[in-house]
Amino acid sequence: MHKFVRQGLWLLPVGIAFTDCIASVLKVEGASMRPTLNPDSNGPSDWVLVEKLSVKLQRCYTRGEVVVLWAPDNPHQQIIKRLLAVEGDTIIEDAKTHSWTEVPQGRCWIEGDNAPMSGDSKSAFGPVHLGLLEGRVTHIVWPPARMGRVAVQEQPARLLQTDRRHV
Amino acid sequence: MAAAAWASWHKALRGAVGFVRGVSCFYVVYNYGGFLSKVDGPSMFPTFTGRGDWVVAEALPGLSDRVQVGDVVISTRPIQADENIIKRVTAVQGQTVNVDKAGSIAPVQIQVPPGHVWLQGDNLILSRDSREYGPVPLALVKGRVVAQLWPSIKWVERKFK
Repeated sequence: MHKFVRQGLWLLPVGIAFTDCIASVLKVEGASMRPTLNPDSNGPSDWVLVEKLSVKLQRCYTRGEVVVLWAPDNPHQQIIKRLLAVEGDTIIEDAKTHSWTEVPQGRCWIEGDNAPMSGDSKSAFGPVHLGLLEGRVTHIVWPPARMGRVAVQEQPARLLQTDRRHV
Repeated sequence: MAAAAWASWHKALRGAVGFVRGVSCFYVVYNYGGFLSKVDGPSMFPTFTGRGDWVVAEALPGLSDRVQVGDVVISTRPIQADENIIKRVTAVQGQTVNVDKAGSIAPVQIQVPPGHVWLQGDNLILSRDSREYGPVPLALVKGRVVAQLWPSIKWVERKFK
């Protein structure tokens, strides 16, 4: 019995290290990523698989992927948005006014799929630091009806110029 | 023959499990407890020589809430996420900072937004800090420096200008 308890205790540091650095499951709150995530306000929230290894350790970013990051205005909260541009890219902020921003070194541009209900680079923070990114949302794992891959959706029409060195 | 093969597989597996446990322990202590860091660069002179000083930083849960004006912190480098910096917090959210911007007569007033801090090196002339890259979100701050171990043992105090 004693041995099992001791073996089991190891689950704590291993579990923390795994969920911090490899992958974890996250419950999606809010409507800022509709219709991709949480499309039904009356239905259950989506639970997603967040892959962290590529983002946190390899610093590998892909335009158009859905990412999890720490909110710039709240170090205790994580938010889920789509990564549209990275450092060196020039992004069109507003299609009507054609205003554009060059994403500075060390930062990226993130937006929720549901623009009117999203606090993101466009509506609130401007370009956010790449160091805030935690992981990529790769799959919806719950509810069963919505299980599946979360697609990478690049938006080339929004980019005036891309810095291909950063992929 | 089969028994010998199984024994060596078992040994390798035990080694792998031990490795994973060890790395996980180190990770948890480093990110949720405390860690050592080496200071390279002149930006915090004279507090640190910047020529290989070793400091101890704490990273206990609730770090973001404990960071105050005057603390020396270690943070992810804002313009390069795979590097670290060590600077002093000179303003927190809600406070206003005056920055001399090249090309303007009067200093520019910047208010530190919610969830951010203003970082400056103690060696103002040789420090690239918030005066250049703006306020830094607290989620990038990894640790609060509490003591120096080398070249001399000393507490690192909260210091105001």
